[in-house]
Amino acid sequence: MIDVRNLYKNFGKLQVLNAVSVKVEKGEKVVIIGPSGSGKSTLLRCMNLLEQPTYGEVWIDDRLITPVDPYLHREVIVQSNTFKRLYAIHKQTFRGSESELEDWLIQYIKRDDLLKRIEGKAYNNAIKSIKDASFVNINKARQHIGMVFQHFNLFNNKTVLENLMLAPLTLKLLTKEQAEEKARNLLSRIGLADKADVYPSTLSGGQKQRIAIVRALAMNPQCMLFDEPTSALDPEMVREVLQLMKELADDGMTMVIVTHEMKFAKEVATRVIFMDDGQIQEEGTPQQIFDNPQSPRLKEFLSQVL
Amino acid sequence: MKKLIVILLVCILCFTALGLSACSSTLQRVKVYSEYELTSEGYAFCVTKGETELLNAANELLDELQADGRLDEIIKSFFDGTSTFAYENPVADLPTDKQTYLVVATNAEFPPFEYTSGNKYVGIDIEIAELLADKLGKVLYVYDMSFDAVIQTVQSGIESNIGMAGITVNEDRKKQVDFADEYYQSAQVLVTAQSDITFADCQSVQDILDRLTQQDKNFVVGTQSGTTGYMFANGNEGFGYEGFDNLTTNGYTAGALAVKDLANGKINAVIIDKQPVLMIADTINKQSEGVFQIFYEQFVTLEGYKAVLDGLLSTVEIAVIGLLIGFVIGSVLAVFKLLPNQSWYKSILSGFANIYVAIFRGTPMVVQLLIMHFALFPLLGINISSVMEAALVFGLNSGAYTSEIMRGGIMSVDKGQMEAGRALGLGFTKTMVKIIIPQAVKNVVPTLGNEFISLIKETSVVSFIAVVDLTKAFQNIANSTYEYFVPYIVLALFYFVIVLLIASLIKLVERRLRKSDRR
Repeated sequence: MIDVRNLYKNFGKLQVLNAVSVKVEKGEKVVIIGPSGSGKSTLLRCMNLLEQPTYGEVWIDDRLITPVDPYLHREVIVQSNTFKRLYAIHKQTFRGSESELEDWLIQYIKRDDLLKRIEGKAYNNAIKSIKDASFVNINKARQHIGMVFQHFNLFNNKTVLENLMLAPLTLKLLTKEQAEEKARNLLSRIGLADKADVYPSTLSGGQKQRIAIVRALAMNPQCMLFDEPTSALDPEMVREVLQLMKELADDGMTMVIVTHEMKFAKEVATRVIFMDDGQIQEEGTPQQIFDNPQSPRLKEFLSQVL
Repeated sequence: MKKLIVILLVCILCFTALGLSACSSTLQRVKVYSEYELTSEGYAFCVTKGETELLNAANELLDELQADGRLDEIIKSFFDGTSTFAYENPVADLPTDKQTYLVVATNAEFPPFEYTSGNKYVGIDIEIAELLADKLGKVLYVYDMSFDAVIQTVQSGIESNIGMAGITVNEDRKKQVDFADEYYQSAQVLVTAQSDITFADCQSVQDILDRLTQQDKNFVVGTQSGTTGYMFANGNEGFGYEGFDNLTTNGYTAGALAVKDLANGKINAVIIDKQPVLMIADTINKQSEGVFQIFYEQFVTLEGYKAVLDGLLSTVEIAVIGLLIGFVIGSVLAVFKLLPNQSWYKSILSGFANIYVAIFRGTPMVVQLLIMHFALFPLLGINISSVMEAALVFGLNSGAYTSEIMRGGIMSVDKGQMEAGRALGLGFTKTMVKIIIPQAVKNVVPTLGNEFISLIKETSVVSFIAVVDLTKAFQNIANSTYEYFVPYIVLALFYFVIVLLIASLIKLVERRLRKSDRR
């Protein structure tokens, strides 16, 4: 479903993500936990390219949404002028088979970041053939990935109904009648059918967040990303949002959730990822992570939040 | 209610000021020494020898014009600056087809007889020339050359058979060309204030000339620049005038302005053409009857309000279309400047936006108007009405200012709105248009309103490109009555009321847009 490969993200000199790889399968509910500043939100936002990764690739449904990262493709590296030059130099002196030399050189090029901006025509063609085979326009890809934000981000200038109808209508996925019917159905599902024609500014935080969730659902996404969906809510509103998310999970939605709600994580997650310092420190089932933490950092983190 | 009181108060204030000023008006009556012609010469059209048909046609036309008084009207309109006549050559190059075209040789540097305004020819001779062309069933082509060349060109008769250039009839010239009847007697007379007794006891032209020679530098004489009166006062070898070195002379763009200054006591005398000044003096002397009376007569009885309403329409048209164009351009430029950083075209487009803003914000509105009207549009072959031209230029100019306003507005919209739109799969442009810009506009309505208000007031410069807007309409009224106070105060009131209306309109719009904020 979502395949994050060797992702790096720098904000200026600050390295937020450091060689992160995650694979989310269909139907999985992955919860990402970790202290603030650990890069978990950035990782989530890279999954639908709201942040552009510095290096690495993101694949959605076996389609590439980021530019091709040459270091991740052996067939690209071997076409580069750098590789060819090194190969010619070391061929005489290397003791071992040709494929061993190739492996060694690729390791060496990856480790020391030796590829240059211009690496010759064959190299460009290799990149282009990968791109042609798998690249997908980001706007297309995003239609299948719902995203829910910490601060809801409902469109302030639109009524609740318009918020739900805007994307399907603008992208011409549904007719006006279909979109409206779908929107009203979704609103009655969360018990807010009477709020269809009000503006978001009149709603409570919990109502806004639930509407933000169904706004994403209006696009029939195949998976949903949640970026701390309850962090900006008053405590008494957290429950209604988590309840809706749990219903979604029970329906079999693929979900990636960044949250501080450990109880919810235990209940819903099929896999928990603990991040710190821009790296995945530990991952496993909720039982493994919460009941039997291995690394001292996770232990320390859990002792603080539980 | 509060607004109504404000309007009332301002109106009362203005009219009190008006009344006071009208009562204390110190306009003096002026006196024209019409019986003493300081110098006199006849102007006539010259025709190639042997072209009897053309000569007869010209004489016939002049007879007609004199008979129905149109000649006097034409002459008056150019002397008092109220003429709206202008002629543009239908083809760029000198036509050789004399059956279709009436080629008139002239020297368009001699107002008010012939001069240029922009790319158009204006003046008494040009207007008569067009009538002559009509009479002959031909199309007029104005052939502009140096004055010396006019007679020679007509004498040769190859390119042109008629010269209309305020040509003085004399014996030398009669040998070279034939002259039609004289249509204008350029007699110069002296005008002073009625109360001024310096020349009161003069019995002949010589007396007046002697008296003038006795005056010193404190004695200021006004003339219309370029006319015979101007030559007479300043001296001109070609005409054989010595001029008056002992006096101070002031050149005016219109004779009426000189007489007006005289009535205001700013200068001592005016030397001017006899026919027009008799009319001018008449009007000025009437003004002791009261400025309101004059304005009322011009505005209501002579239906000046119609021109004003047309002008008002032009003003509003220019401002509204300008604002719309400006808004679109401004929004696009603002978006150019706020493109996401990673896109490769960001630097090109934002660079373009920066250059655009620098150019249009860095040069005066009037200059842009002149460049577009006289240079760029003709060069590009764009042929639209002057009002649309003005609206376009105002739009382009306003776009530069609006872009900064919109940039601020867009930046004030929460970044999450863009992210939410993008996350739903909408593209950058779609999200901008559907989500961000509507919210940005709501934030900047007060500032945009400000821009609209200054736009509507700035349009008062469009008369530079021959558009009759509100200001020009009132200027015309003022120019035809030589009374400036009331028309300009009423003009100011017009703008004031328009701006008040716009201000309340903006409030209304703002309230409508704010409905999504109400809790």
